[in-house]
Order: sequence, then structure tokens, then C-alpha cells
Amino acid sequence: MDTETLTRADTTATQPLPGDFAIWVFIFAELTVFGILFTAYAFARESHLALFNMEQRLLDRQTALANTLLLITSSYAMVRSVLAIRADQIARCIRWLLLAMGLGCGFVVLKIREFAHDATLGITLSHNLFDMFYLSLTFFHFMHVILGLTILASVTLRALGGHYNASSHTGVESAGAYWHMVDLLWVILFALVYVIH
Amino acid sequence: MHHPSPVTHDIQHATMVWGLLVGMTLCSFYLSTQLAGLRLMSAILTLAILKAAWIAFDYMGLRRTQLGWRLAMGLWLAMVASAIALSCFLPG
Repeated sequence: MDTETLTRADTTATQPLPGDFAIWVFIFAELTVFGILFTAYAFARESHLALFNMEQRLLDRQTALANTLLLITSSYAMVRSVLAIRADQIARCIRWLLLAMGLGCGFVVLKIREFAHDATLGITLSHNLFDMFYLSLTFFHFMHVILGLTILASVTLRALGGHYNASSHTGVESAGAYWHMVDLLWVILFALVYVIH
Repeated sequence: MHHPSPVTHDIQHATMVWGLLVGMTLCSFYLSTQLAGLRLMSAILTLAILKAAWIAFDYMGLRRTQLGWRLAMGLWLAMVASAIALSCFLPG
């Protein structure tokens, strides 16, 4: 077995969880909360099908599609930053982190525009059941994007300060795991709230 | 025979997964303009859960982690998927 094969065997073997254990406790808690909200939305939709289908037509589906592509691409940039730091390529890791943040900021800008547009259409929390679920779910997720961006900014600053390298990069992996969770939640939200009718 | 380095291999894999996720997103959006009702729901839910699973196992780094963590994430996704599917497919 040559060195290359050995290295590949090492990387495909079972590994411990990436990032800090605490972030995974947090992620599972968040996923459970969102899981309950998604399930509640699905049951409410089932019992108010006509209202949900009618109100859903008012939503800006093109913007939601753009937001989905932004978050999926941002997650890809996050993967690349983790791979870069594992290879001890700090400058490259920072560039990918900045791209991930830039795409995340794009999501925030589009979402704020969408919320503003919704307000002009009279979509408010107290308008009807669909609007209540739609605004609660998307705003709750929006706050997670803001928190994710704050974590990414903090990790980027630490990377710029030379705190990470190939053997010590738990912070980058933890931020990555959280950012992927934000993406994962949006993927289900996009399907449930914007696409299924 | 030339083998790509592990890092190159991971980059290629991540790029492939990203392409699949983008493709599935566009596909689900297109389907929503062509179908409605139960057929659309089943198609979109399948795509959404597949995408979520891919993100969880590849991007979140669970693909190569210990069995317990993979099972935990798998169970969570299965639980949400079945609850959503159950409520969506219940007769109105």
C-alpha cells in the first residue's frame, strides 16, 4: 500500500464529529424547534388548504428561489473554507469565508426587500393563519441567518488573526456546521412554504 | 494509475454535491409550475428531503462520522419528513 493510498484510507475512515460538541447540542435543539414548527405548519395547512393555497400565491417565489441558490452556494463556500484550513491554506480559507458571508448578506438583503414588499401587501402576523406561520417561520429563520453571519464574521476575524491552522480549526468547523444547519432549514422551508401547493 | 489527492477529491465531491443541490432546487421550482396537488407534493417533498439529507451528511461532515451521529441526524430527518408527509397527505 503506497503513501497516497494510506492517506486516502485515513480520510475515509470513521472520524469524530467535526467542530465543537456544544455546537451540535445547539444544532439538534434548533432542529427540534424547527421540526415542531414545520410539523405544526403542515397540519395547519392540511386543515386550511384553500386559505393556504390562496395566500401562497401572494408570495414572491422568484426571490425565494434566488435566496435558496444563494444559501446553497454559500454553504458550498463554507465547505471550501473548511477544506482549505484542513490543508493549512489560511488565505484561501479566509477568501472562502468572505464569499460565504457575502452570499449570506445577499440573502439578508433580498429577504428584507421581501419583508418590505409583504408589508405593502398587508401581510401581517394577525392577518390570517397562513401569514402568521409564513412570517413566524421565515423571520425566525432570518434571525438564524443573522446569527450565522455574526459567527462567520467572528471566525473570519480569528482566522485573520492567525488563530487557525491545519491541526487546530474547531472554530471554522463549528461555524460551518451551524451555517449548514441554516441552509438545511431553508431548503425545507422553501419547499413547504413557497413551492408546495 | 493517477489518483487525485484527498483534498482534490473532497473539493470535487463538494462541487458535485453543490451542482446536484442547485439542480434539484431548479427542478423543484420547475415542477411547481407544471404540477399541483398530491403529485407536486410528493415530488417536491422527495427533492426537499433528499437535499436536506445531502446537506446534513455531506456538507455538515456527517458522511464519515461515527454511526451514532449519522443515525441521530437520519432519525431527525425521517421524523420531520414523516410528520410533514403524513399531514400533507391526510384527506382534507
